[in-house]
Amino acid sequence: MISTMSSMDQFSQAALEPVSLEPYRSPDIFELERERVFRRAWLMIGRVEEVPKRGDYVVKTVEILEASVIVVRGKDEIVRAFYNVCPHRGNQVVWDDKGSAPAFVCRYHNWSFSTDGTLRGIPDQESFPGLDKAKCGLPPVHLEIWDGWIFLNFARQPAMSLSEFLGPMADMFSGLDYTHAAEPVVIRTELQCNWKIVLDAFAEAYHIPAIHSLSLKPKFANAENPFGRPLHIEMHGLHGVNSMFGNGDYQPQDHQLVEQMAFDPKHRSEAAQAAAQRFNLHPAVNPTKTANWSMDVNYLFPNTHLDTNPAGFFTHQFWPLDVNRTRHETRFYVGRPTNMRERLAVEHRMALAVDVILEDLSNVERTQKGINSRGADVMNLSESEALIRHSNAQLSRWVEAELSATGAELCGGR
Amino acid sequence: MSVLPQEFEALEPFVEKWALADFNARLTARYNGEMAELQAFYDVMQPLAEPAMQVLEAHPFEALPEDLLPLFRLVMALAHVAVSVERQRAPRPKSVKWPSNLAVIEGPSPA
Repeated sequence: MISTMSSMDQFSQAALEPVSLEPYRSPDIFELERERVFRRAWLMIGRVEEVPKRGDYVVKTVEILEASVIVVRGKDEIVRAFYNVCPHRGNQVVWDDKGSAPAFVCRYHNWSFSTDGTLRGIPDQESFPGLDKAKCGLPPVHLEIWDGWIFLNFARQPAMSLSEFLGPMADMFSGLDYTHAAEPVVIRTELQCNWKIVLDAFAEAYHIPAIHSLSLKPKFANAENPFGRPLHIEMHGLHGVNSMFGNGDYQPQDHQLVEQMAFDPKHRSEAAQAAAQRFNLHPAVNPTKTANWSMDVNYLFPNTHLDTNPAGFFTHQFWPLDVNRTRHETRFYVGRPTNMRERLAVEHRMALAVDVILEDLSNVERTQKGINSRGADVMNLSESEALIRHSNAQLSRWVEAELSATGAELCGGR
Repeated sequence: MSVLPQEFEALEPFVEKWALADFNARLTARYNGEMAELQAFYDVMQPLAEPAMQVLEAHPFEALPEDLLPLFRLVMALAHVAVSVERQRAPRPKSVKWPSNLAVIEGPSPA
């Protein structure tokens, strides 16, 4: 037995109780998640690199809150967020996904707004006697930034700051060099299942030898650790880390000639190799600094994985559309290749990544069907799946907490 | 009419099917392909991959001459087809539901 986590260190018997499947199928719980989780948590929505220059904007959709949000870098370089709604008659102001503009103009009646949200002009203003222009800017959404990650909060008055919400995660990851943060490869899928089924599918490595037997297993398990038991699982406030075992000696096999070409580290530019080396030295990346490491799943409550592997970082996001529908988005921050060999490596890595994602995503809809049949009411989780137990516990605390709950109450307990 | 440098004429029969414009097109062609045609492309393309890389690398990466685009695209297609031939031993993973609404909304660049 290798020296991965031992059960008795981290888990009491009570922590191995079965977990209810009701939140995965109940429309009532979904409604509570809407108001008590998604409307009061800080939701990661993107990175500052998406709006690099003054006037650059992106439009983000949070379906569960029926919200379209403009994230824009103002003339003063400050990044702000606004509901994409005109205070005149409620029309959507911006119709495209992204762009750059000195001002926004609502095309319904040509009301115009500065990039800081203030109302600039109203055609035939004399016909609005007594209108308070100061109250007619684009309606703001609370926005805070942590190490380049943009978070939104849709509460009228957030119960906690982003810093309080992130808790120990903020310090742990502080200073991580998010190289290649611009121009990610983005893969989007819409799924017929509850968002937490997709969240769970990417939260553990126990499934890898089974469902990814050809695509991933060679990198995530070996004879010593055939089921890919985790190196380290630790909860941090609402969030948590699952550091996964990997086959440190992994090499493409003799017959995998194209994979050898794509895999060869000599083909990376010196700058890319140096950046990867720095990244891997950060204490939050491969926290046990084990040679046999594949990746870390870093769960950010409620719906984000900010993952790391030896090549860098990537994200999964799980956006609820309905109790049984989810938008899944993966962003691989692979960097813009600087030479042809790196370009080939990226194409091969992404081709394989799509296989892995589809292997996972084909399975989630089957899981939903199983759960909806009500043939089972609980799931029986292993120690390797502790992050799923944790996210369920945190979500159910928030679902049960009244809207009057304080930030300390929401963030504090375990 | 030949669209590839002369030493790659063995690849001409594969240009129409595999010299595709972007990641999504390559992914779709691979997933919809038959194993026999994927294998046939792989068998001719793989031994020519290294010579092709050397031809492509003789030019600045961000300023590839237009007439080398078909060769570049065949190399990119090989990356996809190799996953079928060298890993999955099937055009697409056996357990996946296909077609899928999965979309690569921003692909690797240059495409």
